[in-house]
Amino acid sequence: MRLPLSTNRARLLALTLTATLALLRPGCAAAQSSADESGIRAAMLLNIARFVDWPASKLDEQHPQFVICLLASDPVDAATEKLLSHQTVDSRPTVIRRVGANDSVEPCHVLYAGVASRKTVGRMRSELERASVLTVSELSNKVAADQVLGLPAIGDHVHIEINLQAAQRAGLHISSRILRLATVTP
Amino acid sequence: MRTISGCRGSLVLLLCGVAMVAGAQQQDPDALFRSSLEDLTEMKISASSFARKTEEIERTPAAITVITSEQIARSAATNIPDLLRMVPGVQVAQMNAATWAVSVRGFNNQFANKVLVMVDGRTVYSETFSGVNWDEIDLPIRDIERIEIVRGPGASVWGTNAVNGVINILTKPARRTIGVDVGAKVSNIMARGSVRYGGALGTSAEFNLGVTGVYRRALLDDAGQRAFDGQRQMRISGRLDWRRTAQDEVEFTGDLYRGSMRTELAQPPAFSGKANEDEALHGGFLLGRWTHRGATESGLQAYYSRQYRQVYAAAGLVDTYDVDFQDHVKLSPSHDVVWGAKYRFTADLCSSANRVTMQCSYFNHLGALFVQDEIRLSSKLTATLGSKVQDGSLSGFQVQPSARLLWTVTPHQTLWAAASHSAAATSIGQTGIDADQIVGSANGLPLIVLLDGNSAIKAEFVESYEGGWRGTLPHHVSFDLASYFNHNTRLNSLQSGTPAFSTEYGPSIVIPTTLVNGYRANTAGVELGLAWKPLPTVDVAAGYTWMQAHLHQTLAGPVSIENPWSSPRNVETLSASWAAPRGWRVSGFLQNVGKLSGSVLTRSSAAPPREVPDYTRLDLHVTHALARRFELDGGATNLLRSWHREFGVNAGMVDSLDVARAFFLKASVVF
Repeated sequence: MRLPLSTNRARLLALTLTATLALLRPGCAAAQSSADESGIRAAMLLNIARFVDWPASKLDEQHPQFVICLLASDPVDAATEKLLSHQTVDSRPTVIRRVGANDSVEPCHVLYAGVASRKTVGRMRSELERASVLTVSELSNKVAADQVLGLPAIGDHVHIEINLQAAQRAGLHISSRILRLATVTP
Repeated sequence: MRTISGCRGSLVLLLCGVAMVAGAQQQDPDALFRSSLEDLTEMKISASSFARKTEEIERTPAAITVITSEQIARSAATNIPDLLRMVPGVQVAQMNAATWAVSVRGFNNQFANKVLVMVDGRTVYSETFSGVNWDEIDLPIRDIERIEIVRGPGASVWGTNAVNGVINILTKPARRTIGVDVGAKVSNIMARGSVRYGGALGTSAEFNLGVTGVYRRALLDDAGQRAFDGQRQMRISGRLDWRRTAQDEVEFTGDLYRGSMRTELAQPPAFSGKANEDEALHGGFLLGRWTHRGATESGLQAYYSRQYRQVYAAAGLVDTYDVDFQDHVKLSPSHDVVWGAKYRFTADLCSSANRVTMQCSYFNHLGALFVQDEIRLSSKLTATLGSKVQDGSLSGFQVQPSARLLWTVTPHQTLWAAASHSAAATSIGQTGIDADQIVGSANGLPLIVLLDGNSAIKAEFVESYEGGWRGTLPHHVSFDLASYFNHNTRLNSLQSGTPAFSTEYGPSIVIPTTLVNGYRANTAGVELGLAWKPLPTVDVAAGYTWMQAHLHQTLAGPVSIENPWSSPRNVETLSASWAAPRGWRVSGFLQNVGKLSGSVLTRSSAAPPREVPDYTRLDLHVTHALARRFELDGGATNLLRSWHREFGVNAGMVDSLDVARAFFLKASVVF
């Protein structure tokens, strides 16, 4: 049977095959790992927290622990809770605290808000800024305008969004290493 | 930790079985917490409440491609068929403003009967006309979370007409649609607007509600005039996701749509009135699904849907009631079993006009059982054996088995092979059509084909033999190579009788024609997909498809195949996207589609008949994020030529139209 390819197509195919074979040399393949969505988000949050400078007032003896507060969390966040406890940030052990809309957020370093509390974060904004709390949720900063950190899942990946103005208002300094990987939202 | 949830609708889950759950549970949380932030941003979401698994695709013994919402956002497409152009092995041809022919592995036609299309687990294949009316599922593509495409048979699990492919469209869970989303797109060929609101009801439920409207302008005919087509449509849709307990989720989805479409009529000679008509379409659905995740995972789904549409002046109203249950059991460390049962009842009402009649079979039943066992033969070798057994009023009793083998050569490369037997569903149109149409002239008299359905027609069979190789390579390259050989038998064909003089429509020559199983075909193809991420901001993908068919007539006399091959021998695709600084993004899509073998370009009697020629499509567009909430997107589709033809004669009745170059501007705001 005649090879049913025109000369140009045959060349294109040969080129593609050559390129493929050239890439097939032995060696370690690119790491294409995968994990649970809430696991990735929790690991990201902790990783990011390690590259955020809180004001000295949040790092004194009155704050011996790194407090992650969960606001209106739901079962998805329960998985996050399990993962986030028993870690360390700047040699401080992490602790998880569930808070309500009327509780004080002063002890919190991080406030992880459930999707239902988008508006609550807005209402608590001045208190959260005064207490230098890194506010975070799985919502995009496009819809959660008052939070500092958005970790939305878009397609197959969890993305990092930083609201720099909100971070500055809260007195948080975010390392340029994070900003390189993040989408900085105005 | 939650492993798989909301995965009920996922094809990957069914094809992989429960092994995926086990695989995900092996994930070491400490290792995750030791990962660098760079790795975390590139890590794929494998198992979560709302994203389906993707990494497991590399361990699936079938040719699967997934279009993610990231790829959808980068595309210049506005509708689902245009999105599917990027997938190797999928044939997409636009016929007119609101009609597409979409098939997998050949035999493409508006009434392509070998592909099963589902939206969130609901079958949208039309039993009346065969094929899929893509305008009936014309949801805003911003609402789509992912599209999973299985090339090759999925009949052992999904049933009839999952012969050459399954396309599963999954919309975004309400959780990912919180806020207000307003989008609008205008171009010289269409306009579309949509508004969606998503909110939370307490901490355990979210909902969304959306409304969308679309206007499609008529395309141009051979004379450069506005042709017969064009469409207007409105759609409202909603969704409610409720996590009742940590183990139970309940989901409700639904939509309602209404529209009208301009269509050219197939005219009988005695009928001298209008050539065009506004054809109505409307319908909707309501679906409920309960998923339980305990020691095993099970799901129960039920839906009601209604479709009303006129096609070439014949009308069909279909009410569908569908109940589906499935369960995963890990029988032993080496046996993962997925089984399920389905019952579907459809009530059809057909009307007729202008010499096109449908004789409906009013009540159709379909019952099916499937079981699939994934057997771990060794640490690197897995066999998957399964079959679906079904009985129904339209396709009769069918057993559709498949056997698959997966060899994990290295952690990053897998080889797979499969053999399957599947059956294409017989449509009501094939058994009950009565269409009389002019096809030309002879001796100065009109030549009329009197087409009659055949209630004795049998379901088409396909034996498929497939093999594939896929994996990841250094330099952020992944590849997916698949090849197949299909032996198709009992293909639907048209058998013509002796021409005779008739005066029924005035003096004319009539040819009685009926549907028979009159052809067999051997088809083969190779599909290659490559993806490369040279930089964190750059995505490149390439695809190549080669496919060919040899058709053999099995009945003597004047017999022609009903759905010709109508597919290109070669298709090359290249797409690239660059996320530039300051919120800019540039994306392009280039595709070369060979001439459609076995197609007929036009009904006009110009000799010799021509096939639909090859074309090259280039889409280019630039996206810019303005401030936090606004995004503008401008560009062009089909940039290289002012027009091109993508398909020929549609079902022997109507010529396809020219797909025009289009410049578009899109704006969206989210808050």
